[in-house]
Amino acid sequence: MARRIASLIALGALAVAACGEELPVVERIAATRPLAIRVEVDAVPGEDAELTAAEALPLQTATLLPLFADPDGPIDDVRIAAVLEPVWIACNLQPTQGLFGCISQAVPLDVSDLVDCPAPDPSGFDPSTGVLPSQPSPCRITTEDPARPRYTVPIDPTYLLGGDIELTMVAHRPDEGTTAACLEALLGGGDSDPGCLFVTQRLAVGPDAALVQLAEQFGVPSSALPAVPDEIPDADRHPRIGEVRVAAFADDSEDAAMIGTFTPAAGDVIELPWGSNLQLEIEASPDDLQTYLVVGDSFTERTEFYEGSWFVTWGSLLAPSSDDPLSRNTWTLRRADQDLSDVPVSGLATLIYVLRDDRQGVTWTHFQIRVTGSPD
Amino acid sequence: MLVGGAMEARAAPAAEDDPAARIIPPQLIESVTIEYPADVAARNEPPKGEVIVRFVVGIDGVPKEIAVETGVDPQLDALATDAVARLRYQPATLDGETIEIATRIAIPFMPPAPAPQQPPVRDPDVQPGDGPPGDTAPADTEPGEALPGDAGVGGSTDDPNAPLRLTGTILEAGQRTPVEGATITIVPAPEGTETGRVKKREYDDIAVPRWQATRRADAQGVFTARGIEPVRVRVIVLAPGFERIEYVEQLAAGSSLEVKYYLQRLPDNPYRTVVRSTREDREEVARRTITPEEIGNLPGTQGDALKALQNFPGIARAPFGLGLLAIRGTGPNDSAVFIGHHEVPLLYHFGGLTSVFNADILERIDFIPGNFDSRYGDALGGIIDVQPRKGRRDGYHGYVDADVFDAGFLVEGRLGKGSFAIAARRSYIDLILPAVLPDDAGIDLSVAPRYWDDQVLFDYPVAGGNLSVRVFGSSDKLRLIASDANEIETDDRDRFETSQYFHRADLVYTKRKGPWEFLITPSYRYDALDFGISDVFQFDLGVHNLTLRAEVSRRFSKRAMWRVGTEFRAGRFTVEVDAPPLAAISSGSTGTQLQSRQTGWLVTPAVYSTVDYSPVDAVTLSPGVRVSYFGGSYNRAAVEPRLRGAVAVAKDTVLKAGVGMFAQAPAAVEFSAVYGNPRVALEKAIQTSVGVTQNLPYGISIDGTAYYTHLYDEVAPSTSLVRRPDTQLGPEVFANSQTGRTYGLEILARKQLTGSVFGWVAYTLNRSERREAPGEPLRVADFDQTHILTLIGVWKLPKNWQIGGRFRLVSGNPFTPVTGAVLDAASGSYLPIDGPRNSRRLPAFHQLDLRVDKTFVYRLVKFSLYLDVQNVYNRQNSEFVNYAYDFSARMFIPSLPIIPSIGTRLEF
Repeated sequence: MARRIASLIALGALAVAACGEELPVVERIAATRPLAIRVEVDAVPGEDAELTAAEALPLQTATLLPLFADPDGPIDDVRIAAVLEPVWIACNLQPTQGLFGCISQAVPLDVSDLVDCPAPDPSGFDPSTGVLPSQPSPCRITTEDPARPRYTVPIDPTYLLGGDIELTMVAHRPDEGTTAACLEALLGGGDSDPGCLFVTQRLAVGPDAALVQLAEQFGVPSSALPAVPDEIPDADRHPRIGEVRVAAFADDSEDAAMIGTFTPAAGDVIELPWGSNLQLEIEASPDDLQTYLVVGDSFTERTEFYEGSWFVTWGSLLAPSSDDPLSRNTWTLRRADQDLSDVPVSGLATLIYVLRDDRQGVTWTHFQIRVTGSPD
Repeated sequence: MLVGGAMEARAAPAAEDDPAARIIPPQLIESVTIEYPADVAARNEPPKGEVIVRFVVGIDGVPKEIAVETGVDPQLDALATDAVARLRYQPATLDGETIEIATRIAIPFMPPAPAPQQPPVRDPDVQPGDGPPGDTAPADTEPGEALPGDAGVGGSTDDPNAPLRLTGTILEAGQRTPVEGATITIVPAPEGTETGRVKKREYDDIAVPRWQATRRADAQGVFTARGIEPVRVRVIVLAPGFERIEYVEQLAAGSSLEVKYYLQRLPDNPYRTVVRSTREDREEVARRTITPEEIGNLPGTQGDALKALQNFPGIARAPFGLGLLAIRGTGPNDSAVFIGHHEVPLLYHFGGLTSVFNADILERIDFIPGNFDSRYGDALGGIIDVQPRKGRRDGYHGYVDADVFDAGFLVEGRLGKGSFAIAARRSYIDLILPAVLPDDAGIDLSVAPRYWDDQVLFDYPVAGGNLSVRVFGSSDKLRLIASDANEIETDDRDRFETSQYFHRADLVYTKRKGPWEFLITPSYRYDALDFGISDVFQFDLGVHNLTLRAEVSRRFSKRAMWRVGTEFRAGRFTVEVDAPPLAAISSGSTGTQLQSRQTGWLVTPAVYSTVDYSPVDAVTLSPGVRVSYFGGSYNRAAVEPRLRGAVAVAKDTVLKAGVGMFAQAPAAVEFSAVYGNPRVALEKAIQTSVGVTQNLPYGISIDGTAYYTHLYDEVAPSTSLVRRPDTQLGPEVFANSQTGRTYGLEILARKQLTGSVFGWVAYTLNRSERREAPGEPLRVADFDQTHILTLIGVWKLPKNWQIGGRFRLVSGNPFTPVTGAVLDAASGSYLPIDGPRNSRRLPAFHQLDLRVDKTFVYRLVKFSLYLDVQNVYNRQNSEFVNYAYDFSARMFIPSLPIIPSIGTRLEF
């Protein structure tokens, strides 16, 4: 969404800039880079396990799944943990504070002052005292598996005011710097090394109506709580990607011969000749788009929408984004302007599709093309 | 040899509510004949041209303070000043009282034609005729009467019973307005000359004519000649500021010939007498007044005088030529623009394309960069005050014009005892742009940039005063759908739209009675502003504004005047907003969307007063105060004392100084209960400035002003957690935590439009700094530009050609470097990690613009054509920094490349 806004605002300026040198394009994966973080909240018994929640109430636990890619495609968990060495920070985000606003306000901060996030201890919470426990913020999430850490939402007054948790992941590119140095640069407020990788994601705490209900049960006066709808809505959920359909043509001319059609599953490899033109369709169910309430003078209903991001490691994409439940794109297996070689270095070209809704829902898929032949 | 034309000074046409309209100019009662000095004529290249002499006609009718403004040659200059000293006038009067008046006179010097060294060769294309008829300058008499230059047998007589031979009307070509005071000299033409316009001059034996008759055109431009010989005659018409024309006419016995002659105005008409009114006496430390005709044709302005404002010192250069009025290091929202006593929401279409009010129906543009009078309030920066003029009453006039952006028209003329002016303009970018945008651009312009504006002005004398009715407005609209090439269906998320509309109706009544001066002007204005980006931001605002300004001034003596006034502003607004919370704008996604619909009142009554007091002749003090209350949805009050003073330390040198307090209400969003903080207080500034104005010969003036402004209680973002007015804990969003200062020096060296050259050099040395909160470091402000140099020159050439150039050299704007970036995984876009704010600067800006104008003057109309070339040497100036998606690389977005544009105007 933010990218769309920025694009629209800068439309005129970019038209001018188009005449000059080119900046790296967003859809090309030229080096190790993060693409998304998915916060998967553990399903409550009885819920549909297919509908993974992206929003958690205090004391619920979520798994944090980062998506990294490099020119060879998505990076697996083992490599993430061993090579990128991510560390995770949780920070209490005030209502209306933009993402990364919590860390930004906390810096400069000495790394040694960054405490480990304590595990929530509901047994020590006595509602009769009228005092809510508070979480140190920011704090480091301790985990044995930095590629998919688990985090339990603590109890903190911030969440009752509509606040959330800002998750920040700090890592480093392979063979470039260290995570410790990157963390120090981030918290110290100094210039960061180009090899540092920083990602931030919101862990939405809610639904707010459920939080308020909980707070009232704990004796918090309703006058101190934000207005919420009477009915507790469903938690924010992740969208799901349906079928991926590929129609391959010999080239990008209008009368090009069709090579074949494919429905690759995540991670599948298809073999196609150099120069092929791939007409892509990725389907997501409109039924997964939830309705939610917008706060203001009154509560207004709003429906989520999809925002698809397309990435390739080699070749030319028609567009880097789409916003329809049925997303279409065209991928031509020819060297794009910013590609460094006429054919994929490893012979494999990867397409990654990340689908977001306009809240915290995100999912992704990918497939690869083994490119045969060459322009010669 | 005729070496001296008629000498007369007249006040320029002026509005009836202006003292100029009630001035009876001095009448020449004793003229002087000047001979071209023989020793000067004997030079190889004897000088020629007009000596322009500036002087004051005293209450005794005797010229004094005589100074050469534009010289030709030291000897001729001395001759001219000596001649002026010997002129005698019936002094000027204002409301029956004798007054002194400053004026100018142009004395043309033309060396005598060289004596023929050999028999002349007649050019078959050359029409007959010779040089000026006679050696005697015409003396001055009442218009329409015979002049004492008549001589010889067959010349005209004053006998009203003598046969009428010739009746004529002298009109200005292209305008059809009478040229009062034109001198018509009639002499017999040589045998064999053909009738008609004499277009070329033949150097032949100069013979003294047998007789000569001289007439002067009356107020209607009419002259008559009686009793002259019924022969073929040469008629020579001379008028100050106009081209000399000559005709050969055949007069016949027993009949009267009726003619109309059209004179072309010279490019450098010196008869633009400056009449200083009491209003102009109350000068701010750095009030810069310009007239549209002076700067209407500046390069880079598309003929828009209001755009030329941006060339003055004190105004920061706006990127891409946008019309952001960042004055003395303050923000664009810190200054106010008034048209006809009331504020307008915008001055330019689409931020800078062209002004929203036709600059050709303006009387005056005042730019006051600081220490402005108590009449103006709710601003921390500067003031632009634009006064519309009355429609012309000397016939029906107007024009149709067109350039690459828009087309428009103006019609004006007399209406009973009053006058009217109607103008309108509409762009046609919305017709052209969709046709030239490539189909695969992914941009669907539902409404391409489209603007229009209209003005209807009506003035009428009522009860000894003047009533003006003004209705005008403007509309800008843009809506586009920007979609990716793979989009299946476009929707609101792909849209960008903006619409700004206002219309205003004013009544203005002014009256002067003795020492009293009254102004009362109610005004109603409706504003509508809509702005939408994607489906995440939508802002719709509608405001009904009612403004009433009333002023009373009284001059108690030559040394004291007092003005008191009141300004009442009331606005009934309805605003609907659907947007993320404001604090999110500079950081990542909030996951929150707020919606708000509010209706309310903003009521701002204010009273103000200023006293102009001169304890001695050379000193003027102007203490003033403004008391304002900002009521309705926002409750604050301000008392703003102000003091200005001026000391004339020499005849042409004035020192000025000012100090004052200025207050401004925060932006509506900043005190919004939903998006801002209702507790934020007024923003304030203390402005100080000292200046000097030095007038020099040849119409040159130098104005220097040093200024220092202390800003405090400015509103800045705040992330503190507070208990909000609704008792809930929440972010403070905004607080009056910011302080700042701006200081610098402005220099304006200006050559007035008195000769064929006009121009100025403007230089600003500026530093503008802000401290967002106590304990934070000072940083340069967003619009800080250390050096701003503007050179402008306009040359008016013969044959109605004009060429002008503008060169600008400006420090680059500050920008905030990015030291890193973080992926906002919720949105998929990167957030910059900023370094120290505004700690870097873009490269310096420099650009040359050129403009060439050519006007074709016909009898009834004028046709103008111009070519305006911006960025002549195609300098790639950097305007913004554009980053890669992850901020790992950057490039500068260049300013507009070389852009030639043409425009035309047909004027009648």
